[in-house]
Amino acid sequence: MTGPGEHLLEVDDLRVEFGRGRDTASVLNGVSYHVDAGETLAVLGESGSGKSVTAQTIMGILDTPPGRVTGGAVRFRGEELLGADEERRRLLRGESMAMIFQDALSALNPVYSVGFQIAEQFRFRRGMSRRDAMKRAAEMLDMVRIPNATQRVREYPHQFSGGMRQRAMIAMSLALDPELLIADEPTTALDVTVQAQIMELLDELRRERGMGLILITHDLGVVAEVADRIAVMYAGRIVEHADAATLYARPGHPYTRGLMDSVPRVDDVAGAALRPIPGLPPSLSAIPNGCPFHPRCAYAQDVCTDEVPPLRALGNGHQAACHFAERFVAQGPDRPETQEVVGR
Amino acid sequence: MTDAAPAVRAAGAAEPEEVEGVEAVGGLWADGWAQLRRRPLFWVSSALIVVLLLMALFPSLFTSVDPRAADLSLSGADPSPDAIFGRDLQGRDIYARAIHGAAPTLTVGLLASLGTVVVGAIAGLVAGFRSGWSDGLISRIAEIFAGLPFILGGIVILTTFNRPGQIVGEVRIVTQVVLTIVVLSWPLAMRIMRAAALEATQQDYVKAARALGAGPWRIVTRHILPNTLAPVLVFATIQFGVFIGAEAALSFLGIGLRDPVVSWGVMISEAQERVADIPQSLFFPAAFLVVAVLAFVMLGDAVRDAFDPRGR
Repeated sequence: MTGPGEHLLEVDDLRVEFGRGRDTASVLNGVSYHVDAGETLAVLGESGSGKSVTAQTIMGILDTPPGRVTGGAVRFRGEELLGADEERRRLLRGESMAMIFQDALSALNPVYSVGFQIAEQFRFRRGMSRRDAMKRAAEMLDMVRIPNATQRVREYPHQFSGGMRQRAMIAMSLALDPELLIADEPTTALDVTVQAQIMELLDELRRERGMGLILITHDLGVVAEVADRIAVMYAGRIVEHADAATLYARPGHPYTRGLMDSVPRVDDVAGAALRPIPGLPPSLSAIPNGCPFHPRCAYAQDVCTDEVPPLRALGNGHQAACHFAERFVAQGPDRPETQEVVGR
Repeated sequence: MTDAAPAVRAAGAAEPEEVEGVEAVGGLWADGWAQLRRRPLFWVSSALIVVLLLMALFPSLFTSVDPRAADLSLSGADPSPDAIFGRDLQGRDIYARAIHGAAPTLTVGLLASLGTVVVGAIAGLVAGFRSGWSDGLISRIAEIFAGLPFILGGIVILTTFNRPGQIVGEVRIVTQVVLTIVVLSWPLAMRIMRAAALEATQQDYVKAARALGAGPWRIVTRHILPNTLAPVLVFATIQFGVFIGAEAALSFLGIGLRDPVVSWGVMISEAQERVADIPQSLFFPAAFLVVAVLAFVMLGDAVRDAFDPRGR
């Protein structure tokens, strides 16, 4: 269905601002990425890096105001969405693209049974009778491996455990067979063992249905096994983009390295201190000149404070937005000494 | 009156869970009804309300005495087989008057609660969901009406339509009293609804519904309204009692319901002149009023519990 050279979803130089006048915060400063059918793109970044805003802009559910799209394009199967009328976008939601949220408890309406909420889509979008829709809802719950689906379909969200709720949420999003699923931190609110199960489920569903999956997370561990490609975001920009294996083996941006270093590892010496990235992400209403990461970067040089590094191709689809990306890539994943890399 | 409700509810909660067979799977309303059905509180209050409604619709089932027949030689007579609640200052049968007083009293209470909630809820829903300039406009208008003191506003509105002491028809005066109460009280319901709608609009499930392609109409009716109904229902049942009291206050001032209309409010106002001599003329209509208000508060309580699954 996708034409040659056409991606399932393409985000091109997307720019979003919040607020007006002096309080304007530039939340997205030219974000570009794409997803193909059957592929998982992980979008990695700290809180406030713009991952969720990008997702909401794609879905068309960004609150405006305060948000405002100031530039760029979102193309679904080649169709430009940002200029499309609201009714067209509404019909695409659920049908072609769907989204699941971090906290499934608050994303499910407390006054309706879980089955009723899933069934609603079959009733309103497929014109099914109440009875048939409930039957389909039970099948959906069964598909996301909720035991006793025919009984549980009548229970309310608060009667489900955290993992079950997220499964129900997934079932609800997939009811109309969307081609693209955006999962916004789907496992953040869950315990580790449940996280793994949910990731496994999402991965399986993606494979079975051949749908594109955008997985938004701040947790490197979560994406390691399921992502085909990873886009790392910082201060409303993509700072690195590569297939998963390359990114882990040869990170080209010091921020990506920082993220990897700040995850405790099994082979760390007991009692060894974690290595967090120093400082805080910049305020989006006052993004530093030059490379937005330079105040926190151990390798920052003069050029970093003056010039914004563009996202440069490093071969094999690997892109990084760092003036010294080639040297980091050559160095591999271990922590380089400052001198070695940039040679003062 | 409101204190009595939780005690009764505790008794209801002790009831063992009914084992259900194959039950129709429904949405909010079907499930709410299934919950409601098992509450004794609901049945007790419903029974009382049914009796009150019968009283209002068919007073002849309860008494054949004319509530307006006065016999001054029997003024202030004590309860007796002849008139079981005794007689008032004018020598009228208090029992017959209390029975006949149900209709205007309940009509005013119900219509005023309904009108206040409908007007207030629609205004509050629009203000809370649309926000922006519609919110500003509706909120300012509500503030203007909320700023009018109730009694003063009532006097101004009702004396504009009727000269004081003028004899007016029953339908006309009931309509005027109801509209007066609604006009002066809707901002309360509007504020409650607006706050609840503002909160619900921010919830993730509204965002999730939008992400699944729900339109604004479905979001409001399916997601926001059911989540905002509980506080408004509670408000309506409490206001029911307040409005009956307001009706009595307007009657007392001579601008609300008045003779020849018989309402509990009218009876209570009339009783105040000679309450020490003829206590039964105050006691019985007041007792009817208390039971009626209690029944509606209990019903409201049961309904709220049933339709809010978080409390189950």
